[in-house]
Amino acid sequence: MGRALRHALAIAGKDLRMELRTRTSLLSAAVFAALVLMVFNFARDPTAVATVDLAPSILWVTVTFASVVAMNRAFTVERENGAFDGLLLAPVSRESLYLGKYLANLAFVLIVEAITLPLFVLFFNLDLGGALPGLLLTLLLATIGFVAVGTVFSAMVAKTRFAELMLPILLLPFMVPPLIFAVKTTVPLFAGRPLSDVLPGLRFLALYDVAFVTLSVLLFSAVVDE
Amino acid sequence: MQADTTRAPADTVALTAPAEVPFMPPHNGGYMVAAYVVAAAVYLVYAASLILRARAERR
Amino acid sequence: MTPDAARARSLMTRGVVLTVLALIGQAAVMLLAIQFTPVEARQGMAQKIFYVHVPAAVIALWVAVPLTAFAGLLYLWLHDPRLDRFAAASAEVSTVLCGIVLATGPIWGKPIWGTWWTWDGRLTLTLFLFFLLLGYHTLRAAIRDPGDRARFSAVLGVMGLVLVPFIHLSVYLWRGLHPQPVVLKPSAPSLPPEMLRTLLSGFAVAFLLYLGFVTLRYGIQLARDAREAAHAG
Repeated sequence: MGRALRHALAIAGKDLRMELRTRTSLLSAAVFAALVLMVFNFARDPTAVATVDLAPSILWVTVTFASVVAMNRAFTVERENGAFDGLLLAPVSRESLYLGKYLANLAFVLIVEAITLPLFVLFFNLDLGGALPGLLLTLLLATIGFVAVGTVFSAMVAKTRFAELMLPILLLPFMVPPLIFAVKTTVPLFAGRPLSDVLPGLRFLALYDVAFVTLSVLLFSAVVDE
Repeated sequence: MQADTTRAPADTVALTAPAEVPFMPPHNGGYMVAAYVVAAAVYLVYAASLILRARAERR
Repeated sequence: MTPDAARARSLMTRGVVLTVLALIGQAAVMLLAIQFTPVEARQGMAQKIFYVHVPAAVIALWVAVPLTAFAGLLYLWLHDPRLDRFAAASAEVSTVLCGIVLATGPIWGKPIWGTWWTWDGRLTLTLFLFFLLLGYHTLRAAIRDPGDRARFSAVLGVMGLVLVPFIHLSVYLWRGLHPQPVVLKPSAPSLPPEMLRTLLSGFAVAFLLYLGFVTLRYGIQLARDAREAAHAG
């Protein structure tokens, strides 16, 4: 168990180091998120709809698309010079390999979200106030689940043509249930309601996380082993 | 908001006909025809595509 | 001719016969519904859409889609190419059936609910399945290697199977925010015998259509695989 985790962390560390050295995908995902926020700003009529009513939708649509863009990177990078074959030959279990890629993806998407959130607050003049801890918890719980699915799918689409287009087509239906609950949680939080009011939504997100992280760990070997 | 037509508020007059007048079903046969035509078209087109594909494999 | 190619031929013949019979049956059900089934008092003729819509929906949601996913699950365990061929065939037919449901549903909804589309729980679930199936076909079409194609689509199928209860839960809870249209339940607690007879014939025909389409589609895939194997070997 301890060794499996060490292997997973080593793989995640490799991915993150590679990313931090070049910074290209991290930067492009963050710029993409900022651009989506900007598009939203100009795609609404500021006199007709109050920002605070639209804010949860803007936040979650931005997070959804930016996450998909961010997750595309995980395996396309490995395919480039046959690096993945080397990784498959390494003496690590498939579960560790999956967990490593998953943790790197998770960190990556969370970093993009951490850049998106302040921009979102800044662009839309929001006062999060007491909603911040609840919002961060919601973001974390929602992200844990869909990144698990996204990691499996990005390993699959890396072997296809049009991988960048294929990932959103496969992944978006899986992102909608967590999205629904994240929005259902964010709306009361922005309205100043306490965290205890949104527990059912958070519980659903946690259930989704448990189900799909488990399933993804189990199914990953079917993706990489011929 | 859709009106709730199944219950009338207490201070309104019921507009439905008295019981002895036979209730006429709405005239909406056109929708049925449209749905049947669409369904038949989808099934026929799919069947034709399968049969053509099967024929191509047989040659 | 290889044994597989011969088997493909006989399956395709059987599939064509079944499909033609089922199509005639579908026409008969429509005739039965129009001519020999009473008109529902509150919904009028539009209620008769029910006899095409509901059987397609039930066969898609309770037979075709679950079988696709289970065939994928079994494939991951047994690696039998027959299971993958069946999953591909069943997924394609599921898409057609979901298409029928999504096309006839709004045509019934307009006169009865007063709106073409509503994010009603069952409608939303069907739309989700439709998109999942489209993704499934897109994925299959994008992979060259037959082994990869079978495994990846099986993984997607199993993931989809687990997703369905989550979608169900979330769309039912989500619609709580929205006003619901007046729902006249098409399934009255006890259908009069003539209506029940028409509905049951509809179910039988929809199942026959599924069977015929899947047999034919499976035969086509088998013929294609046999041809590719002959080329390779």
